[in-house]
Amino acid sequence: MGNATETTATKSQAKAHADAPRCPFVDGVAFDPMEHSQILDPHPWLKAAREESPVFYMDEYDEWWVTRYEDVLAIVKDTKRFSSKHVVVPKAMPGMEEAYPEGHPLAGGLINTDPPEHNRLRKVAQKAFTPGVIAPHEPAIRAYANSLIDGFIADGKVNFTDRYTRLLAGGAITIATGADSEKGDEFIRANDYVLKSSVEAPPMPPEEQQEVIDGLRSFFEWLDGFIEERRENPKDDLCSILVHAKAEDGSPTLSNWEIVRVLTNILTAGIDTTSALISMTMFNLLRERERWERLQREPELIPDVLDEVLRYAHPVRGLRRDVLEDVELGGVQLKKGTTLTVNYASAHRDQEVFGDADSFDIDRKDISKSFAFGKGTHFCIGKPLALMEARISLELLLERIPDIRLPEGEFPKVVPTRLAAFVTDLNLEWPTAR
Amino acid sequence: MKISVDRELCEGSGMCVEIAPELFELGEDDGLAVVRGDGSVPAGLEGKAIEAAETCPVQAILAQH
Repeated sequence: MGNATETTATKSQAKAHADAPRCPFVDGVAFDPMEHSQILDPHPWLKAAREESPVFYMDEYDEWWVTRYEDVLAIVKDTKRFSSKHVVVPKAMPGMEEAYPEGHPLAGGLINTDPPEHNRLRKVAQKAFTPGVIAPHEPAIRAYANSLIDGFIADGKVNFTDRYTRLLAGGAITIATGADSEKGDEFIRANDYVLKSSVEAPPMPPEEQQEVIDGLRSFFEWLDGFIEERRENPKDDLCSILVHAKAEDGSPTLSNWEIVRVLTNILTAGIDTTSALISMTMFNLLRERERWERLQREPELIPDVLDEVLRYAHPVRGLRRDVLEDVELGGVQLKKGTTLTVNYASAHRDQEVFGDADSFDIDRKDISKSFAFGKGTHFCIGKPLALMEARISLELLLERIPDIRLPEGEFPKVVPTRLAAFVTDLNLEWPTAR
Repeated sequence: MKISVDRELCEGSGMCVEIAPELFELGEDDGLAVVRGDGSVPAGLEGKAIEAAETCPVQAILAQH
């Protein structure tokens, strides 16, 4: 039933947009952002789009893609005309309303709200996420990263994403939140459940839907208890700062459920993104080994490397916006209510802005134009934590596994979703003494 | 107390305006923070100036005596 209705809707939408520009073909091949090789490298199509149809219509998803730097930047800065209410949309699943009586955790939070509601939440969450609050967690995160490396260093090979980057990203958020690092696995599982319950995720059989709903419910129950514990015994962690934030009249700023939402946002925004950043950093350094060797000689270039990986490989490919009033964009008239995807990955390869945009170049002079962590009110709250994790990882690997290399022909494997390049597997190897 | 914004660092999150609209606003053209007036903090607003500086996600605000 559901499918039949969707098909009809898609057909009538396509008819309504019959004259709309579409993404150009490249060498006779259509753009398919769900196809594995195109998730890894959508750039030939996006480049053609920037030149020929910078704002184009995607029939399959009934949404418009925005590809040029200037347009993407203007949209993310303009919260009056472009809403973030549906950046992440939960999938409708039976039993969901009973499971989340106060609304789906994906529906509110930091990512999916506009000012002024967004700013009310952000102001509290931001205090828990300044570089000054994050920095004291560095020794614990470094120790955790070292313990992960201890687990595979003797093997001479590793699925780096599976056994390091995802665990580190989950562990770092767990540590920053204030929970024991052993809770990291549960944070990662909760992250996976949340991603599975978004509309972009592939359909699930009923048993799996139930597992997702039950799993999330039990995680939220634990989180609720943890919030209560921190209410009684505050510490210097993210959860305590959120719990004890007070309005000017002394009343608590956030309810327990709002804290659950903010923490859920933070963990889902910070695990696969940061994991992909670290995996893509190693992939791009090792695919041209002189890059890795240069970093061994000049480790002070680590921040430049990370900036360039973010621009070039861009783990977050696009984010959704709703058009709040009729606008003209890239020569196309868009009606109020239209859904857009601002394509960050494309904007950061725009040859009008970045010289030799398709080259990976850690010496580039125009990197300050990058806005890989966003711009304006939704500027990524987790940037200092993400960059800390990536820096620690490079420092430790340069020191502990200097001979690490990419196996012949190795490419990362990614999750099939059109809005991100989340890595699931990246194999690395190195000679061992034995 | 004097305040200033490093506009090279500012990402326009608007947190300073949220905390102290008396002291900061976002530029019409670029959406980045600017200090209202000459940057002198009126008596009674020092606490808000420090809070804004401490909360800035990119540490772009300088507040000093």
